[in-house]
Amino acid sequence: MKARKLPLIYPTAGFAGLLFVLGAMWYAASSQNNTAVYLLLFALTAVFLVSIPHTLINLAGVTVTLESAQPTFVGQEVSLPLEVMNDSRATRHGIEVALPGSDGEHPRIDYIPARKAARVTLRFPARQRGEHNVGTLCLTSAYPLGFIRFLKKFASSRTYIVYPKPEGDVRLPSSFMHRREGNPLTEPGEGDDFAGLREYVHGESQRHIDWRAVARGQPLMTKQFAAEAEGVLYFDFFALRLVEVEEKLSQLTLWIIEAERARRPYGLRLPGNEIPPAIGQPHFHECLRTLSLFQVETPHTDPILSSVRRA
Amino acid sequence: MSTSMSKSGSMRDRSIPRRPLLWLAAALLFTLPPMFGSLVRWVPYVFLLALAMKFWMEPRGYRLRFATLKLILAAMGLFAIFASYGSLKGVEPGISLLVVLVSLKVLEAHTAREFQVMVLMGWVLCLCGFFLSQDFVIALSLLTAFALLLVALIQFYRGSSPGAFWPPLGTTGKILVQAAPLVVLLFVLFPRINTGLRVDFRANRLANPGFSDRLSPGSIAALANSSEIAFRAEFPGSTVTPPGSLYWRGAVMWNCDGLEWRAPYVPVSISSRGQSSSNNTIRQRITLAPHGARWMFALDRPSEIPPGAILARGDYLWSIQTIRKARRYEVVSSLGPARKELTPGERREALELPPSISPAVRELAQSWTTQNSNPRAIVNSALQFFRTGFRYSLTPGEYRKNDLEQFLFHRRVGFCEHYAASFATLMRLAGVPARVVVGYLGGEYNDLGHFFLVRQADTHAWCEVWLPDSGWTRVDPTTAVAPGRASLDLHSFLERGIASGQMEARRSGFLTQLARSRLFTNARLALETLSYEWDTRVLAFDADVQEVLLDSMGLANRGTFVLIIEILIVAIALLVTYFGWMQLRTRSRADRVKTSYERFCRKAARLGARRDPWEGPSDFSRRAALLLPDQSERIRQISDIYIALRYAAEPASVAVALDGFAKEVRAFGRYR
Amino acid sequence: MTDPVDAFTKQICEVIVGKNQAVKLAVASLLARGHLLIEDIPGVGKTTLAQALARSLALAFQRIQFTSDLLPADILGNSIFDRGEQRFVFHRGPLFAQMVLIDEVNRATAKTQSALLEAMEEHRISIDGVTYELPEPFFVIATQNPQHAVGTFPLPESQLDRFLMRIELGVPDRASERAMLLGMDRRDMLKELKPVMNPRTLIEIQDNVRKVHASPALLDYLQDLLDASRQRHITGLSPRAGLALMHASQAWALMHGRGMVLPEDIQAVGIAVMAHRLGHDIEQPGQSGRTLADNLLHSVPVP
Repeated sequence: MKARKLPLIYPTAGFAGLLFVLGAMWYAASSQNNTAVYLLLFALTAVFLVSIPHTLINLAGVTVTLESAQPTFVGQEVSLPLEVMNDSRATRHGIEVALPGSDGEHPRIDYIPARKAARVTLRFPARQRGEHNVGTLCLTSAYPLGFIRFLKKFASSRTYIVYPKPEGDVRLPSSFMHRREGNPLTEPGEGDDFAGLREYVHGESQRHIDWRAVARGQPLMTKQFAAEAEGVLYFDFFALRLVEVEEKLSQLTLWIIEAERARRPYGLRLPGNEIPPAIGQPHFHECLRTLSLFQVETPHTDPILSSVRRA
Repeated sequence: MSTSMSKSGSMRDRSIPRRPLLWLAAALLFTLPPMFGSLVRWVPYVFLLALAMKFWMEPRGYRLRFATLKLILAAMGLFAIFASYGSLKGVEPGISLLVVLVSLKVLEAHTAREFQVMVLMGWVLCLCGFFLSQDFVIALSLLTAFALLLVALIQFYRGSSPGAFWPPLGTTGKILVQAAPLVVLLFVLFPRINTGLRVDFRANRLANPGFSDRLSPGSIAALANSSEIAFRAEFPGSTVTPPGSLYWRGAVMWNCDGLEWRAPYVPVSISSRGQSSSNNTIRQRITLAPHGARWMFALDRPSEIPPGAILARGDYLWSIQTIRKARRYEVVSSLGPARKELTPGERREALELPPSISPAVRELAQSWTTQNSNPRAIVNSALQFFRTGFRYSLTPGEYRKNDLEQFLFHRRVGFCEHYAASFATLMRLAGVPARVVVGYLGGEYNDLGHFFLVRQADTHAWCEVWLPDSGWTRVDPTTAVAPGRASLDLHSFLERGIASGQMEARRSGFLTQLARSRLFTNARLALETLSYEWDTRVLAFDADVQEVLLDSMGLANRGTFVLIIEILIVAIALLVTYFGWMQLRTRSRADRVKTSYERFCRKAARLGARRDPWEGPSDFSRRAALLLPDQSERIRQISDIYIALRYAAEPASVAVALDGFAKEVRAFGRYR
Repeated sequence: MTDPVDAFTKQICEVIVGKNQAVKLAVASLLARGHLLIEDIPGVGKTTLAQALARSLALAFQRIQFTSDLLPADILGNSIFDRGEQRFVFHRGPLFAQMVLIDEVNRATAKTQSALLEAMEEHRISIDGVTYELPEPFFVIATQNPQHAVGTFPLPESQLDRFLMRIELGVPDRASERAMLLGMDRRDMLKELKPVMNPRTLIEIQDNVRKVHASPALLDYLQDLLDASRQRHITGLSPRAGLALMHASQAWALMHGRGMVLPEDIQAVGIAVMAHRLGHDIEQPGQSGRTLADNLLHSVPVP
């Protein structure tokens, strides 16, 4: 990643304290004409001033490279693995990685030896589905004295994808053959024959949880009925009787996860897009990706991020 | 590499790791010495206790948490301070309060930000220390604390980086070395703006005059064990020490009351005209320790008056202002004979006697006069009298002020003040005008620094008598009793006394051995030299001296603001230099090669051969050589070196190749 | 060290007229211990190239024509019960040679293909629990017709990765073709070819290829390329592709008498190494791997 030209320096909270102490020293020295206190004042001032180039140099030759991020669902945590490389011939200390506008953790790297790299993961909550630009990454460092912080920005063209939040109360549609004629699809009824248990998928309806099993101390299981245990599934955006687009997308997402987990082939139909039934990880991710990009324009930048970039 | 996660960057929820805490504790310990000397005993102990408790509490996760508890402890501290001092006003109670609060803060602090606060408080404690004392040793300790606080802070920000001792010390050292020129610049040139808010906190602290305007039995003997420094003296312009004994004249006492003599409260100023008639003069540079009175000292006897002083009747110096800080002055003393005339008023005063003189004493004086009325003969008779049966002692026992008879005829044990007082009184009884002079005798010569160090222990009293042919003449009756005393400083004299078994003061053998060992002596001398340098070069450099210096540099009429701006510019230039230097040292070789090559590419582009970003160096070399046939040789050469530097396995002499490369690139495109 | 390589390359170029670049890439692939996939229409000299290579190196040469009814055992060999010795005896298949030419690799079934590719990767064959080492050096040249031909089983993406390079020979230009028409019969020429290198020299050179220096700067460039491919395409270049790119460019650098790899070396072998690995992009259908590779090379800056 290319570093932005202008580095930023800003004082930390400790700087106010330092100013106060310097002020106190100055007042004491000048009011008492105390030469020794003057010496102390100037020593502290000089040390602080000299620490500024030390802080600046601490990020010289340090670059950050983003690696590709795993897709996540809204409500989960995005984790962006990245590598901070120290190209210089000196050890660098106390570097923090931050993504402006995200309110997650700021990983701190205590040190990177010369010509070595450190790997950290940036985590923050995923709030909105779609493909997001990482935008600007910041490396900051307050080493060695912590009175000023130096910030170096890196522009990244890396994107990460956030799938819609899997949730909804509608049961998995029963199997049917997709009819090319396009007859309106009926809301699938629920099968009656109990076909077994499967693991509960977070976000799905709680109506079919086997509560008796829970009472016995077993994990959450959902009762599966004969109707959903066989055949090819076709998830249709139009057939869903839900009002909000987001609600529909969430429901579809949940279904896809359920179907994938049940190892049943499934297809997806969205306005202007259709994915034929299949099964397996690539298909799974293709479907979810299509859902997350539904009615979203090309890579989408957080408003906060773009404001930072303008600044 | 170690990484740690933290919320929004400020390390808010990390507790304080042990290693920086150790450094911090070490630093805070070094802020203690001035406190032990000046504050109520329990205050520094409270501080020590807090530090020790912190080490016990921190690993266990204990903290001083509850606001009420903190308040109660603070109130207790406040009360204790009030109880100890009887007041909360003034420097000592104020500093004591601060120390108590810092102790509480140490117990309470547990987050990263608070660590920084503790370090800042440590620096404030250094500041307080300098309020209490500016002695060299104290200053050394406080400056060590200052540096250690820096180490603690750096260690704190280093986190889990390897190395807890040398690496943070090294970084600190580097920062301090780089800061040093800046400190000198600021110290020497930064204008000491006078705020006009001068509050003299210190008036009550300088009850350390060495001697008072009163010479009473035991008053000097009380100082004999004080190693506190009175002043230092240099003899500029001459490397040899002046011949004879060094009598440092301090004050002249006219008022006699038997064994007690007194100087006038406000001396009468006289002019120095006619004083320096003799060519036997000596120039001295005296650095006087602050003593809160107005005495100033010079070799017997001063003839040229330093600024800010008057010459008092009796030929001694008297400061116009009270001496509250170290003062440095130059004075010329005349070693030749003094003035010859004595006014009738002075004669009357110099013969005045208290009525309470016992008949036996009067008789003694009378006997000398009847023997021979020549004043010189009288002086000799008196000295002869003292030579027999008198003993010189630090601990002569109690005398009251009119115990003259007791001293002269019965106990016959005394210290210099006894001899001087009694001798002068006897002279007056015998009709010879006499007065007592107090000051210092001798001093320790420091070979390294070429100066005399005069301590309070060197305080001495002697007499002056008026002889018609030579005027005021110094007579030191002590030398009659203890002949070696005048040529030695007191300690050497006492040591010699031990050797000859004369003195009753005995010290343990080991300590004496240690005190006499060469190493110890040298160390002490070196410390004194440094201490002297600290006093004369650092402490003495106050606003007034700075003004003189700025004046001599032609910077005085520049205006404070302009001067500050100029200093700022120099400082920034220095910082930029440091940055450049560090960058040069830590930037990778590849980076430097790359920068040079990019420069070459820019030049080539200007000449018409633009490199595509994805174009490799040898492809570009070929293409550029075709585009710029007249530069082709050079282009090929530069590209070849670049390829060798950047892509080959380590070439034999990297540095040479690198410099050569940079030079080639600089030269490229210059000649077409 | 480079002299035998030079002579060798030159000799092949005499046989395969007008295809210097393709020949050099083939040689580079051989030196880098990689296998070669030639994709082209029949009759452009694929077999001739393979034979020329084998003859010039005095390698044991085998040719296998893949058909849809070919079974793995037909190429690997099989165990036959020997009545005399009363035990199974392994009869080695045609794959046990130093240079194997597989004609029309995409005509065989997936099963046979994967048996072949596994042997290529491992340099050994396991049958009935016994492992047989393949000879050294071992070099496979597979040819395949363009994918749309009828009755073919295209090589799966994962297995294409096993080939270090994919090259195309293509129709020679007019002058070369004329020279070919006028010149000696290729078959006779092949017979007259003298070995310029023995297998041991070849192994030595192959060892030397791995020692060609790749500086940090070069590795930066290589990683930038890999990174860019991963960012732009869902199926970016695998780590194995990175290794392939590195080894091929090392071989290329050695062939040009250099002890270090330059970005130019990567660019020279880049399309041959990357194209068949990038050809399956879902996002950009209609773009051949060749174009994608070319785009990569012309957009990733040399650091």
